[in-house]
Amino acid sequence: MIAGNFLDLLKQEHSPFVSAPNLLHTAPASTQTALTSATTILAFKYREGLLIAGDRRATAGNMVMFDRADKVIDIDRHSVMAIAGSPATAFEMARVLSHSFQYYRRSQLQDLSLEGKVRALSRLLKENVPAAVQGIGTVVPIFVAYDPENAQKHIYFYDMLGAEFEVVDFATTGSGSPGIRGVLHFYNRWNSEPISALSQDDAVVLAMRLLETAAEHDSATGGIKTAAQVFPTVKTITEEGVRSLSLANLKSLYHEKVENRHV
Amino acid sequence: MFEEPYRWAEAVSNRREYLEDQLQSGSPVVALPCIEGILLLSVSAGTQKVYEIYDRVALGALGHPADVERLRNIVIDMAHLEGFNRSPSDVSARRLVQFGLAPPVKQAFEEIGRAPYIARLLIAELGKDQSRIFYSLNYDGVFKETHTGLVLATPGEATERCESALKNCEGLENRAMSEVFGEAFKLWGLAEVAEDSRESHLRDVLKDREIEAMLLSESVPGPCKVRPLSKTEMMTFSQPWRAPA
Repeated sequence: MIAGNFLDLLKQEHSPFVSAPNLLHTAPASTQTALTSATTILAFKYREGLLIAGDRRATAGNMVMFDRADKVIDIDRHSVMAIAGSPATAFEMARVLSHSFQYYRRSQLQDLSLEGKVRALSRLLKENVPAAVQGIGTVVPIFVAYDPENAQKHIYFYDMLGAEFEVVDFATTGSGSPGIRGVLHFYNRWNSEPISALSQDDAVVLAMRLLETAAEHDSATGGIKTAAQVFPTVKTITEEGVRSLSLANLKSLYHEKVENRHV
Repeated sequence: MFEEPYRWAEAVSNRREYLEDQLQSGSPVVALPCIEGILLLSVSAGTQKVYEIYDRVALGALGHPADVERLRNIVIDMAHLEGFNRSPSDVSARRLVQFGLAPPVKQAFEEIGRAPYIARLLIAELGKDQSRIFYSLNYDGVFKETHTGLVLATPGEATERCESALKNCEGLENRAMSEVFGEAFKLWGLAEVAEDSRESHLRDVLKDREIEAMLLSESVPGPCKVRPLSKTEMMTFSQPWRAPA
């Protein structure tokens, strides 16, 4: 009996996504094919809510495959997932999650709890382990959610096996993340105000500066290209829900506070 | 027992009588176009009557709660599988009704050895081109499409009364939801009682039952365009029937 579980419904219908673990029995133990993967994502709490952002580059080995990938994906009205790793698997996970939460809400006539949402992503990652260990679909996401009932902000990061960790202030993952993780710690510890006290505009500026820093040291992270109008994906989640920062907004903040030296 | 065609036809006819009798006590559901999109309204004594099905599709039901629940789950499963396997743009009320709901409802109705669904459904869809599509599905699997609104009333006189009243409601798609709410509530009343006793009935109903309403509107943020009306909105819009006569 299915009780609001979309993943079980997909299994019942033999969806190809949830049959992915079968790859373990059929595919070679490793592959030399360069797979498309994606790069630096970050999330932190600011004064009014949560900010989650990611660069736009997708790479396959040394090849830049695409410079306009959206790695920050709305899941429902108050939760967003950002992905580092294989976009093919990650986008599918995001679609499964989004449908799962909506399916649960519509069929059970109540929202899925935050714990339920967090575990749903963990379960998807666990189901993907056989593919991930073969190097053909590793995903290391960040999941952020605003709980409107209790006005609480939550950030979780995961390992590829599906373990979830709730962080206090910020999370970063992806190949460019080591370079900015330390910066965030430094900023949060010794700046005149902690990250959680930043206004939304200042939070967006910090996110853009961090992503540019990551791109400076990591070839798999795409920088900001003003001429081509390539800016990071930045979303905020507040009591009102998820909001994507517009290109105009990002451009204006970038020109004002990121492009040139500014104190 | 049903080896002769006549006996089968008679059994189906008896079943129709039984179902219409069972549906007499159901609370009607009204779906009307408005400038914002589509408004669905009913009055419930506890059990939910109006449901969100998918991003742009909502359902209203009259009938036995357990049967409504079975049909609701069929259509929700179908919509979500279709939306996931293809695209949310491929989920349409027409396909849900024509291929998902009508065949099992008809089959259950005509298989005399099986229990039929004691339910009539209303499915409304707000199209991406702002079209407003309404489907009614009867307990025997017969479905109809309309674009001007729909009242799901108990079979017989009430349905005829409402169909006639609905024809007189012109230009609803150009009127604000706050106004259309009043029209919908009046149509709901007409589906319950004759016109001369409608106003007093509506006032009485609000003393111990609650209005339930849902809006499908492009203005709802995000991909899901369905939102239930808040209690404050419903209190405000139904104020004319709450104030002393």
